[in-house]
Amino acid sequence: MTKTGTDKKLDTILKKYEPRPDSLIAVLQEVQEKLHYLSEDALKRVAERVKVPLVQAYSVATFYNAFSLKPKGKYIIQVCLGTACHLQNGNQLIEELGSLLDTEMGVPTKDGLFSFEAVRCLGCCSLAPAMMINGKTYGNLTADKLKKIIKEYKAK
Amino acid sequence: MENNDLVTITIDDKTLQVKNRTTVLEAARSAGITIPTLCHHEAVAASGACRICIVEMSVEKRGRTVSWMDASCVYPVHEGLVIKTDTPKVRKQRKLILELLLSRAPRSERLLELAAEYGAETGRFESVNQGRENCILCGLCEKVCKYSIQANVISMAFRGVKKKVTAPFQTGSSLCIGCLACYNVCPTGAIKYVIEGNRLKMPAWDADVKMQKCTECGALYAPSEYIKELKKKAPGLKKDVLSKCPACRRKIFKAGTPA
Amino acid sequence: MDKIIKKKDLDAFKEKGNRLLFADSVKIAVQAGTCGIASGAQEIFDFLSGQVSSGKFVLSRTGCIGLCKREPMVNVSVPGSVTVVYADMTKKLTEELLKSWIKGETPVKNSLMTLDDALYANPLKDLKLPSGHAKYRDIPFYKKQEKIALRNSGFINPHNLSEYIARGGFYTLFDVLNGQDSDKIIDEIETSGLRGRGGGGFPTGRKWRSCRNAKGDKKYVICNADEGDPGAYMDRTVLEGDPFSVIEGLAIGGYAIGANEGYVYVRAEYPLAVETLKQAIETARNHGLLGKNIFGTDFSFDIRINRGGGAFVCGESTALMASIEGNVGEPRTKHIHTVESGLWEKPTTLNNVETWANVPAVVNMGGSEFRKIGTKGSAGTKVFSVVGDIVNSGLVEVPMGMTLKELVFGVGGGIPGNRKLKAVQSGGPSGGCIPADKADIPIDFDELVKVGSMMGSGGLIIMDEDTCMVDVARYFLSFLVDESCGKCTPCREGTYQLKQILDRITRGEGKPGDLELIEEIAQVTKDCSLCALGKSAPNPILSTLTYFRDEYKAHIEKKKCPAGVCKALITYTIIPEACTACGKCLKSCPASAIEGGKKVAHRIIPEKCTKCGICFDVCAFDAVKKV
Ligand SMILES: Cc1cc2nc3c(=O)[nH]c(=O)nc-3n(C[C@H](O)[C@H](O)[C@H](O)COP(=O)(O)O)c2cc1C
Ligand code: SF4
Ligand code: SF4
Ligand code: FES
Ligand code: FES
Repeated sequence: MTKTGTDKKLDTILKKYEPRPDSLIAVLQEVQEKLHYLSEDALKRVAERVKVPLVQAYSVATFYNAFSLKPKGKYIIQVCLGTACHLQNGNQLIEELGSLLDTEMGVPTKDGLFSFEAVRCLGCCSLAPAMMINGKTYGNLTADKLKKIIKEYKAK
Repeated sequence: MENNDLVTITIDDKTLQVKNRTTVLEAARSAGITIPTLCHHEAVAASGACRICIVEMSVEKRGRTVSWMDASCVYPVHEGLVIKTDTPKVRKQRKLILELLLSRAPRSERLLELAAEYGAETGRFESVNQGRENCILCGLCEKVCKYSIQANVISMAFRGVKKKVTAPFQTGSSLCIGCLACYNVCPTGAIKYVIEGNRLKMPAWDADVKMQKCTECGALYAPSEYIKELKKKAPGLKKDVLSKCPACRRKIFKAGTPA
Repeated sequence: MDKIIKKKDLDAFKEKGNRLLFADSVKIAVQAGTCGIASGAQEIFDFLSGQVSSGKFVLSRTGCIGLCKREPMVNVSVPGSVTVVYADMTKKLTEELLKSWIKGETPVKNSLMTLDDALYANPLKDLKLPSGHAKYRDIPFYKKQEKIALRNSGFINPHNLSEYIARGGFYTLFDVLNGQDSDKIIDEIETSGLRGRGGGGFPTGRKWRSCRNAKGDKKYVICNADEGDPGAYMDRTVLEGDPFSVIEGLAIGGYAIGANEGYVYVRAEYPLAVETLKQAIETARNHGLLGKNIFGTDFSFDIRINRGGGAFVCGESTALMASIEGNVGEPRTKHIHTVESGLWEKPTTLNNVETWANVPAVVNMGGSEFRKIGTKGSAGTKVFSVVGDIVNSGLVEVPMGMTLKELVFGVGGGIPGNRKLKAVQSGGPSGGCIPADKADIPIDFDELVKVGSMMGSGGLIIMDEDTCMVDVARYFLSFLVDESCGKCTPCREGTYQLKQILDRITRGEGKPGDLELIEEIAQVTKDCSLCALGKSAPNPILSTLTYFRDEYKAHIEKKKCPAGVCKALITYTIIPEACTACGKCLKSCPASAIEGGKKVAHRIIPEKCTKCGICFDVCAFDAVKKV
């Protein structure tokens, strides 16, 4: 049987970690980052590798915000709704993104490029409202700035 | 202080001596005092999740009385602890906890019984129905399945108000052995099962297991997978015990010729 | 790589570090913490990287020096002179100023201050003070700060071990391992009066002593870097700006309680902090400062990093340990203390990042010296992130006992636009709102509790008069509903029902009896929840109810939001007499809810208006009114 690209990626990740229950979260994090979500198959294989029952992997995968059982976009936009950003109208960015990307929170765009979600504080509160795209933080956002940033990513 | 040492405590004005670090609940029961419980079961370690068993406690510290509330099923006694299990405050808090639970499990008999006892009303709160009706997320079914039976069919998923018990990805159908331990521990009657033809079904976990026929009379008496597990876990069991229904078993044992 | 074993090895690193810190050539260090990068520091750094081959200057990076509002910032030192900090920088300005810098000049344009404070002094020789610049202590923001945890952030290169050693780093660990009895270190910590900086304020020395005395073949130390309070980023700054201080603190703690393994649990939203710490741990390991037989003694110690999964409750110590073990982050009852049975049921000492960063400093200066700083019950300093409606939003470290007022109006520079202070929120979702008229209380663990809030981890949200306190309470409740682990009834159901009621009130559907019902649920949640998340969840609502009850009443009885925040309770209208028919609002309205024409006063169509408030913001004639 030939392996798909996803399978191979999964193999590489699984091999890196010690087959112990306490590797579970770290493995899931890497799978989530590399494959953009945790598929049923991935979850089963991770559970097997780190020697935990599937139910435990499932509990963990649904408990933590960082994990998702459905695909996310290639670029994950995390809009901050922490206290400082809430008070600076971070909510408006969420609405803006919805119409800009023509999708809802948590649902990837049709081209699979973007998905957006709310997080609570990126630690950049003095630059509120803030957001992060794949680990890169943006601050002092306005509707115009947001448009520009999204455009840049689309052009990438 | 070691765990076998005795400590002196007071529960509802009775003074008694109990082993250090037994729980308040155990101590109260030994003194004949009833405290309501929901998420507590002897078969599994106490988790202190439902909080219905809260009591008022206090100690004297440097001439001052310090008092607080905590769950009796997990709180270990220590020297000088004074416990009150049925004060107006305790009753008031239990009443509200029941009302909160009823917003999730409005038809549970056990809850309605307690509600009558504590004067809890239904309908003061918005109803919460995330998944299983009448489940109060006590966690007992998950724990017996995981730790006692070790079948690992079900577990808690999601968190907070969205939490629910579930068998992930329809794996219930292949992993469940039909032991009904979860059904038996559930305090609210949220888990149901039916026997259809020669199959036992638990819709909540998508479980669907075959029932074994008694080799003597042909009656369906237990799920096949469950019997297999029994064989594994208790290899010393007699063949007749495993292959016959309880009624036939009794007859054979009476006759004194079990195989 | 060269191992550091003897004191002379440390001395060699120190010498090298001092040469880097106080270079013989022009040195430019870009402050490139997450906040700096988000403001454009990376662009500046990249530009300078392209120029560095000229050989006319050396380039370095450093963490954040606190005044995040004025970022990007660049530290520039020319030989023989005190470092100058430039603020509000851009790539263009850097390009322009670079011409002077490489000539050894430090123009005053965009200069914020010089780092002339004793804290940043060159130990080897006196430096010249460049003229025309403000001095460090001239800046109101820095005037009353006293830095212990932030002693190195924004000054040293966080990736460079020798710069940390040049600042006295790892000498404390050396002295501790060579000849100090572990009891004596714990004595020192106890004498210092150091209390945990993660929120609860538990005496650190006492925690260490119980853990040291607990029976166990194996013990652990943990650094809690989950920093879940929204609006707080002290720990991020320490990890990004001075990771070695946390490593040294953990090693000292490990030695004191008898642990050979340490864990740092960092939240996943801090990728740069994770990366910086990871590199620092590796560097320390490569030089023998972590691993087997540190400094040639028989003490071995190593550190692992665990990344969080985005769950606030995992900041709670027992949930955090469950998470390290690979489980869901559900707290357990703490009747068995974690110092006796924590991670993998072994005795475990868990402290916050800032607490660990304090440890080497405390041991170095001695407990009784440390105790002299701060108040009787709260020794030392505390780092706060001061954000919200404040001029100098950023990170400050002040001695305990400073009044809130001083912090807001002195250090923080007051409220922008001359508006009035309404409240200060401290303690995150577990804390409360302190009204302006209580702002003269001193910052102290116990004083803050007295007014219905708590110190928390150090996030201070400053709120001006345009803030709706009902909305603030609703915000925190919705945070807690999302973050409750869901294990126990009062927290899971109680916070949810509280939020439902607040939702109704802010929608204008409040009913008589709502406030009493809130109080009833709040009491149960507080008294009966399993962990501190639930026990403290009602604080934001109870404190706002205490101090701002009238505002709740206005929402419920009059269906009005006095601060004009709750959308359902406000309407926008255009005053025809004031309208000049300029058409600006009409063009900006995203909902096409405004009609009007040339010379015709404009009008908002109520059915279409989404209450976004853009017309209100854009009107130059104050013709749009919010009621
Ligand atoms: C819900 C909850 C969240 C918490 N989050 C954090 C956190 O993000 N960082 C932290 O240091 N402590 C947090 N704490 C406090 C820790 O449980 C613990 O008391 C603290 O880290 C101990 O360290 P310290 O004594 O140095 O303060 C939290 C507590 C609770 C109940
Ligand atoms: S189904 Fe029953 S046993 Fe299982 S968690 Fe719900 S109430 Fe508890
Ligand atoms: S108080 Fe909240 S967070 Fe803590 S155990 Fe209960 S449900 Fe979980
Ligand atoms: S509140 Fe948004 S970055 Fe902190
Ligand atoms: S019975 Fe004690 S908490 Fe549920």
